Amino acid sequence: MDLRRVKNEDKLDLCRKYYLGGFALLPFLWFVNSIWFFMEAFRKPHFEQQAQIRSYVIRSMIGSVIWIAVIVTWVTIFQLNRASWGATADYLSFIIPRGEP
Amino acid sequence: MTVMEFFGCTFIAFGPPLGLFIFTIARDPLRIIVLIASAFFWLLSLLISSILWYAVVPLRQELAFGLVFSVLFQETFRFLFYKLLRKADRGLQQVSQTGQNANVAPKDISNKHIMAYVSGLGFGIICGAFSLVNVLADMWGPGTIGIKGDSQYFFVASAFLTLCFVFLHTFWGVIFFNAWDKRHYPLIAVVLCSHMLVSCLTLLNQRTSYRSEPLYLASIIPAYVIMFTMAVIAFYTAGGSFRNIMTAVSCKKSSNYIVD
Amino acid sequence: MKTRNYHLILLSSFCILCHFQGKAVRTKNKIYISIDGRSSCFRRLNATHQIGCTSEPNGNVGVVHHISTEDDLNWLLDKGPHAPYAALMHSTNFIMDNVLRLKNSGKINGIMVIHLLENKTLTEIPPAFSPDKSCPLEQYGMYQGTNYSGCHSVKWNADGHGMMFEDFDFPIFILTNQSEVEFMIEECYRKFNQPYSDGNPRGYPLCAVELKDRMDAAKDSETCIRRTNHQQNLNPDKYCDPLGDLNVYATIKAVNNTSAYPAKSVIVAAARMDSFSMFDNVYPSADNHVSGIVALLAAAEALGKFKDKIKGSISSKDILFTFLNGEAFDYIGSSRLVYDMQRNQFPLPFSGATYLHPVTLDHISHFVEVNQLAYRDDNKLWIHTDPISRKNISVEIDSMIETLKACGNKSQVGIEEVDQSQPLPPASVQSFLKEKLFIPAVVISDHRREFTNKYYNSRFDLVSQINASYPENVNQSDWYDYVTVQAQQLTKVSTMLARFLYNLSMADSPPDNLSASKKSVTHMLYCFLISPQCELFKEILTADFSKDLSAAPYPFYVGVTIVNNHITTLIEKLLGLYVGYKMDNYTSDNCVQPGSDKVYQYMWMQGPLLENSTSRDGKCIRTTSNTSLAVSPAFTADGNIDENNWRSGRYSAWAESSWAADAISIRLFLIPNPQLEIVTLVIGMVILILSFILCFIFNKKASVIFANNVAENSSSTTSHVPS
Repeated sequence: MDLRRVKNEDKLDLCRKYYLGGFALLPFLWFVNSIWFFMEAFRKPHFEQQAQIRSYVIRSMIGSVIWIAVIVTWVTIFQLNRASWGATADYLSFIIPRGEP
Repeated sequence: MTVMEFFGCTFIAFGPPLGLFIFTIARDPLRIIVLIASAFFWLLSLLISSILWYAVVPLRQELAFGLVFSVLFQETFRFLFYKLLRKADRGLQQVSQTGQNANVAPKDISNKHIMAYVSGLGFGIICGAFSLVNVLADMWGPGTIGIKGDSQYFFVASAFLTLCFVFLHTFWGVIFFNAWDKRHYPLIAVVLCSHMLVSCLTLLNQRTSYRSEPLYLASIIPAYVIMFTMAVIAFYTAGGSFRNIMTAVSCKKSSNYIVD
Repeated sequence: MKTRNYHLILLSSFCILCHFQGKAVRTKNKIYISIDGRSSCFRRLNATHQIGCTSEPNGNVGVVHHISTEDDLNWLLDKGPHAPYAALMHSTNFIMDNVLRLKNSGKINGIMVIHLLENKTLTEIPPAFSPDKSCPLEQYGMYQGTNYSGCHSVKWNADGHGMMFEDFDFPIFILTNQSEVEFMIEECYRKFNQPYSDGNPRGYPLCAVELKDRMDAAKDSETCIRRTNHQQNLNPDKYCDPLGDLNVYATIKAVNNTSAYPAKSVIVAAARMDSFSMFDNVYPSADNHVSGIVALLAAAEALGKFKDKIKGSISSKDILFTFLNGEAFDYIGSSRLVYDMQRNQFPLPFSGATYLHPVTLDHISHFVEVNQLAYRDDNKLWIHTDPISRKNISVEIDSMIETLKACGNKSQVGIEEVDQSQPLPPASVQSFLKEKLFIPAVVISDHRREFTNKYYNSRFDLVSQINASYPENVNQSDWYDYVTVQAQQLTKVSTMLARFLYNLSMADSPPDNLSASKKSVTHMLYCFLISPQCELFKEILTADFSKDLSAAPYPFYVGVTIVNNHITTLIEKLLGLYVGYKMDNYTSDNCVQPGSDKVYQYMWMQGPLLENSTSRDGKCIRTTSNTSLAVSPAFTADGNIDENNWRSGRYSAWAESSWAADAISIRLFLIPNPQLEIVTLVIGMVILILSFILCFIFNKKASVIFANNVAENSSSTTSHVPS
């Protein structure tokens, strides 16, 4: 969708929907939101809904950062400990590398 | 690891064609269409050559036989493509005039050299790709050529020769199309003969019973000499001159012409 | 080059046309030379360890270095600047010490060992080589935790370095094709890599080899079996399979389940069926255990002729012949047999039919095991007994030994008892004694103390080493019937064995004409060790199977449970023929087991050739010869882990890693001069950047450069053609 052709009210609505959708364990929506509406929130000249959009974008950013941190931490821990966790790690894996402990 | 060698050879063979494509073709849909169409025609010529090569069983081991006919077929299809393009002139003109895209200027049709150049490059790129892609794929690693006594310069020589062929096809395109437009038959003969000559030169790269080391330089140097000759002819054919280059180098942009 | 490319182009497009999968000459074929005469060391796993070899997923690349002397090895370790190397070694250098030095140096990415048995200069058979441990099978034997543990009284396999049980993170191959080995030495090593005579290394290009031997399993058998069973995606993957196959057995008296079968009424005569070596499909196993297998089979044949006499006597003891499989891997076959006996599952009962009476440990009155028999210490055979059980049942054991010695005398076999304080060598009977100590047991073997076989479980346990190969003046066509020295000796051993078993069974001296057939021993040695495409094997199979007999000897490796061994089937048929009855008026169609009687198997054999004819005299054999599972109780029949038995730690837990179809290969090639590579890359980058700049400028100035065009083309406004 080309945001240039969307009315400001609709932008706010869209941004809110993305923000709320992110709470359904869909962090990618927050990530998209924070990039997609970045220009609207911080770069565009002032318009009525900008403050609200900005707050949604900022919250989305915080949410995505937390998610990214959590995921990166988990992946790191898992990869470092996969071999030593034995059976547990195998049951958590979708593809088990061949020829590796 | 032979990855460095791989990238080196890729850049040598396909760097210049890539530059030409990005700066002169990519922004213009009509040119892309013509480029691909001409590449397709080259493929057709290859198909016919293959059928012939397969059909004539006794000569299958003789590279020279396939080679000569391959050259003839390529030039035939260049001619067919020329005919097609001229037939399509009116249609292309309409497309470019009614098209929404402002980049397609009628000059592509009016200046015959542009389409000649584009179709020549199409021939060149597809020919280069078919010559080298197989070699490049095998080059990735971990080994390089030579255990069976082949020269270690095989890859570099292949890359340079491929580059030469890409350029040659481009120049031949310009000369050939112009020659047919002007009914300037000697130039057609020049294209045909030089193509045959360069292709036959590559036979020197074979290792034979009495020549253990292939003569890479003996084929590359004449090929590049011919390439530069063709470049000069194509340059003048397309309307260039030494004076123009000097003008361009002196950075005085001629106010008479507007560059899109 | 260019012309070659044309050739290629022609070929490739034509391939598309005609689906022709021909000999397209790719550059690859000029870069790489594939080495096909090879056999790899692969990975096996037990409950705690992984052993054997693996490579990286895409193979290990190393510069070829030919090690024929100690100096070559030291050069690689001390000087060799082009690490990692791939060592090309001779059989005499390929010893544990050198391999560990190479491994620990970290300069090695793989080892190739020349294994050309036909060529004495390239492959000298070393004075001794055994990849097995110096104290084989100790952990699962009966002496664990006793005074006799750790082989401290006798190091049975004194030459064993345990190389087989080492975990290598690089591949090891043997090379078996002479021309390929010669190419590697001459055209690869000498031409490109051999250091100058002053010890300075050669410059690039160097000849390297890519050794690919990627194994799928890792860590231990529990892990790989769990991974095999835990499938989450739609492509079921296999990581490993348990080792195991089938045991072969037959009884003489064929007592069925409804008849009386008193305790201590069965004599077990056992032999081991398998061995191993480090390398895939190279299991010559001449002494260990073909000699034992052949001796016991010939004894069964001799006794089979008197089976009616034994059956006819009510007081006679039954004789159970067993050939145990997987014994080299912690007694798989014998531990399973004992496990089944303890549960009345051997032979397997059938409901609604008569079947062979189950044999339990209590039924066993005597146990006679034949071990390796070919290399005789002092030209004698040796009787081994267990010192622990002997304390309690010395009378029985002593009488067995006396009988056996008497039978030996009669059959002209030198046989003596070893020092009584000496424990049993590695033997299947240990699995029985471990469970029930009071079975009188003797193990007949060719060594008094340490193994006389210097090549125990190795690729050098060859027919030529046991005097069973043929003199040069004998035509290959006459080999089958040629009685070798070994055949003569083994025949005597078989006679002794048959007479001994008869004596134990009938408690009476055997008739004088009870003797083994020299012909059968000769034929069996030929068929097992030289070529299975022999008349004896053809006779005992059906016409269909005999057509598929391999030209090369079948491997004596137990293999994985999902594949049935040829050797097992052949021994089952031979034993069937020797102890069974020929049934008259049966054809190949009705030679089948009736549903209500599972005591006997019915085997159709195409029989010997009729005289002056190509057709054969087929026969139906009714026999007790059959197979039982030789899968460790630690595994279930479908290859899972049996939790209880696994945790008990009493049973073999060996599994073999699986590998992909393309996981094993060797390729030779050159690696380029790094300087040449850098120069090529720099030239490429310069050309790339330069061409971009030129194209940009030309395109910008096109209108100026091609200005003349305007004059020609009056309708044109600008021109746009760069060079």
